[in-house]
Amino acid sequence: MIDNEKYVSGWSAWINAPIPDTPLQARIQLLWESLRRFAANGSALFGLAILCILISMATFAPLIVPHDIFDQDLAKQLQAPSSNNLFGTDELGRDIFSRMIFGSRITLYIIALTAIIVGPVGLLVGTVAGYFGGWVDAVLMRIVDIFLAFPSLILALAFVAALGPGIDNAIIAISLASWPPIARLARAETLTIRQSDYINAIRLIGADPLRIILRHVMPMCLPSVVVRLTLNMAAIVLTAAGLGFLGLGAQPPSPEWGSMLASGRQFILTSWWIAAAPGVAILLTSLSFNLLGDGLRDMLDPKHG
Amino acid sequence: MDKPLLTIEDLHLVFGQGQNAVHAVRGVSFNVGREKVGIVGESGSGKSQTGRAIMRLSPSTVNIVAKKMDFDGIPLLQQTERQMRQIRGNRISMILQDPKFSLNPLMRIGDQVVEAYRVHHKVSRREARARALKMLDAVRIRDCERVFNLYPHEVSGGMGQRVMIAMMLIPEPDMIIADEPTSALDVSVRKQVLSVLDELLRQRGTALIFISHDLNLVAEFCDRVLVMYAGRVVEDIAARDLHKAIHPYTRGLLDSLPKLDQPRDVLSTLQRDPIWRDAPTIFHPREVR
Amino acid sequence: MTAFLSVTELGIGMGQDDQYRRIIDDISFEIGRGESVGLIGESGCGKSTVLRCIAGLNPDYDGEVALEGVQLRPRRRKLELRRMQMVFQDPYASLHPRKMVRDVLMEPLVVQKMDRSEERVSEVLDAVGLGSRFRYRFPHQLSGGQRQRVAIARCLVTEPEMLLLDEPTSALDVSVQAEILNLLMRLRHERNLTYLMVTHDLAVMAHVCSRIAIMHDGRIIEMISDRDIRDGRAQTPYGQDFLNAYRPG
Repeated sequence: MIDNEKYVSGWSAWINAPIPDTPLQARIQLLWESLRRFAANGSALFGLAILCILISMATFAPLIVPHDIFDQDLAKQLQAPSSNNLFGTDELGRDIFSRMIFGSRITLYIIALTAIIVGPVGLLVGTVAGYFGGWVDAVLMRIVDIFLAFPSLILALAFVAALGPGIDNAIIAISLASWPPIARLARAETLTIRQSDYINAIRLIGADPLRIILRHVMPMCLPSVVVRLTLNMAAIVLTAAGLGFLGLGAQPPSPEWGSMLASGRQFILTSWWIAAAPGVAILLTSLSFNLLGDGLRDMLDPKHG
Repeated sequence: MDKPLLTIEDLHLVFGQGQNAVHAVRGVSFNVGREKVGIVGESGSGKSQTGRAIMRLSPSTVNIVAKKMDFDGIPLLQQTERQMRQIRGNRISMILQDPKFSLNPLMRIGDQVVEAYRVHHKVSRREARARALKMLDAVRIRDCERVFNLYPHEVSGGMGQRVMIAMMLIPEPDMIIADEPTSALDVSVRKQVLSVLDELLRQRGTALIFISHDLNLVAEFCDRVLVMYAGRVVEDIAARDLHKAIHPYTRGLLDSLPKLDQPRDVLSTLQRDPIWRDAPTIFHPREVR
Repeated sequence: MTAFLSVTELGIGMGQDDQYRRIIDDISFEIGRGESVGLIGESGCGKSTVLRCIAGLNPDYDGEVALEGVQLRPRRRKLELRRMQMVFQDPYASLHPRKMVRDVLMEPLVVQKMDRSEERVSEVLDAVGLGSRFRYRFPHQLSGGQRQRVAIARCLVTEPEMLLLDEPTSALDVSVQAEILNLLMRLRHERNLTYLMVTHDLAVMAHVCSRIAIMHDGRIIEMISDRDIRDGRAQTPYGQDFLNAYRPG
């Protein structure tokens, strides 16, 4: 229960009011509680911070890069990090630091699009399968099983090989490999939720299954799906980098981190910075999503509703 | 009554710190001899927390303070964890509410009873097994050999609870704390389980603390009743005198229950008075017999 | 008096082939409008199953359930559902954790396409003793008793004629139980509701219901009155044993 008013200032009084006056106030109060729980988790805040840096980098890329990313200067190739080139230059004399910054755009693009595709599709398939059961469940789950039978990188490779290399095809390929676990998760949650008395109560009101699934079952599945997706982001970043590494993602001269890593491979003993920079970027991005996902899990703890 | 087995004086339990601190138990004092004492209260009264505090099984975020918490002369609050392990299960045992959750689902029943004994007594496997079988018989389980080899999910709730009693009594403790031991059981099975417990307690002279929300059940089964409200004991009365209780909370609880022999159109409801939170305990002295 | 609810040879079974067993069998009884009838028995006797079949939660039953002579389809139609609502046992499980009270109460009105929704929500919140201060609260901000009141309000908002009560006070504290029982009795008198209640508590049963069916192993053994329960008198040997076993003392 929310405590009695102890504060005098406007915002504090409003956010801590025991009796909300409008639905909006009630929802914001709930959100505030969740955010406070999230903020209590140090590593999650760290992950969020890294993610924010990443997003800022991507947004303001043209403003912050010191050099043009496509500018080749063979006289300057393979130079070590210096004040002019913070992370050195690659085999074609391009500034690695600038390329890394632009590469974050590609990474974020891949992540965002994948999440937008995988989340809703997995959620819908999983909840429908879990709620209806019977042959609907059997058919949908066999489809999921087919996708799950392949390791995600191999599956992504197969699709890209069929569709042709390129960033959009890479996104489709990664999405196809990533949605099944979300569907499985949503189905498992739905099986439990379906038995609850509050679902029985809605059935007794005469609501049709679609309404029940969309308005009652899905909101309860959402926290686990969001957490799972966030944690999956780390894997998606790595898969995208893997595809890029194999030359099947964004094509050169695009500054995608995976392909930068690939071209840096042959110079790793002499010009280690070419591989190290994108490598660390991939690492930090993955890490930040993992930490964020953990923090979200604590924040969205079902015990609080 | 001769020297009590358990003496608690001014027990306080606080969860958390600072502004969010919850003072779950606020100055509870009572004694338990070789008798059955019931602690009755609603959710939030602090009764379960009191029981766990005696066993030092409270969560790590809890701050326990008492002027005295002595069991047979041993000051429980000063014991190390290692020393408490010698006491738990051996001298003080605890029976919990739902055998589905308190019995290990992956171990056979017989093995669990045997383990309960061998943790505290060094005997051969054969002897432990024989004792376990005898104990299963003592809790009136027919066909002990067969039940010995069953898993917990294969027996009914009532039988599971009797197995729990067997496990808790086999090391021959001096005292048992039972936290809602019959709440998960069907009403007709309750009587059976309680009569088994009663017989064994009487045979061995074991003390019992019976924690429950069911006032009538506790009054029937126990010798003495402690009524808890908001972390304090508001009334301490002999079970057979419960109908003569004075405290308005106790009276309120008694009156709000529908009774078979007193049909009423409207049940009287409890009107909580803020005074109850801090008023002193109404203590009805034990009769000298 | 023509029956309001009549149940004829209701039964339901489970399992395949040689594992098939009847959970409830040959359940027949009638309830007049405004009456309050109870189902009591040991755990596992099938009393909750009877309630769920009558409510329409379990459509695979055989036999008939009829309201005022008109047989109800096992998969209930919307209008049929409006006439009969159910109060569930666990107040902590019967409200959707993410929906505020106002939304919980509005939804039946939206689904049943009823008018004056905001007004009806206010009325029903007052009727159960909660004011409009509770409109924007979430279930985890409410006590057990308050949640059960919201659950009862949800049942009442579509103006049903009958309430099915599945152990409505078993999960509540003793002091709250009296309030909820008083509320249920008052609502029944004010709105001329018909009640069918399941409980294991003899005293609550005798307080609320005038006729009680004792069930055992999926069947109704006998029908007795609340007077009989108070006096501890049954006709059949099982019924007598049952009353003796369940009476305090």
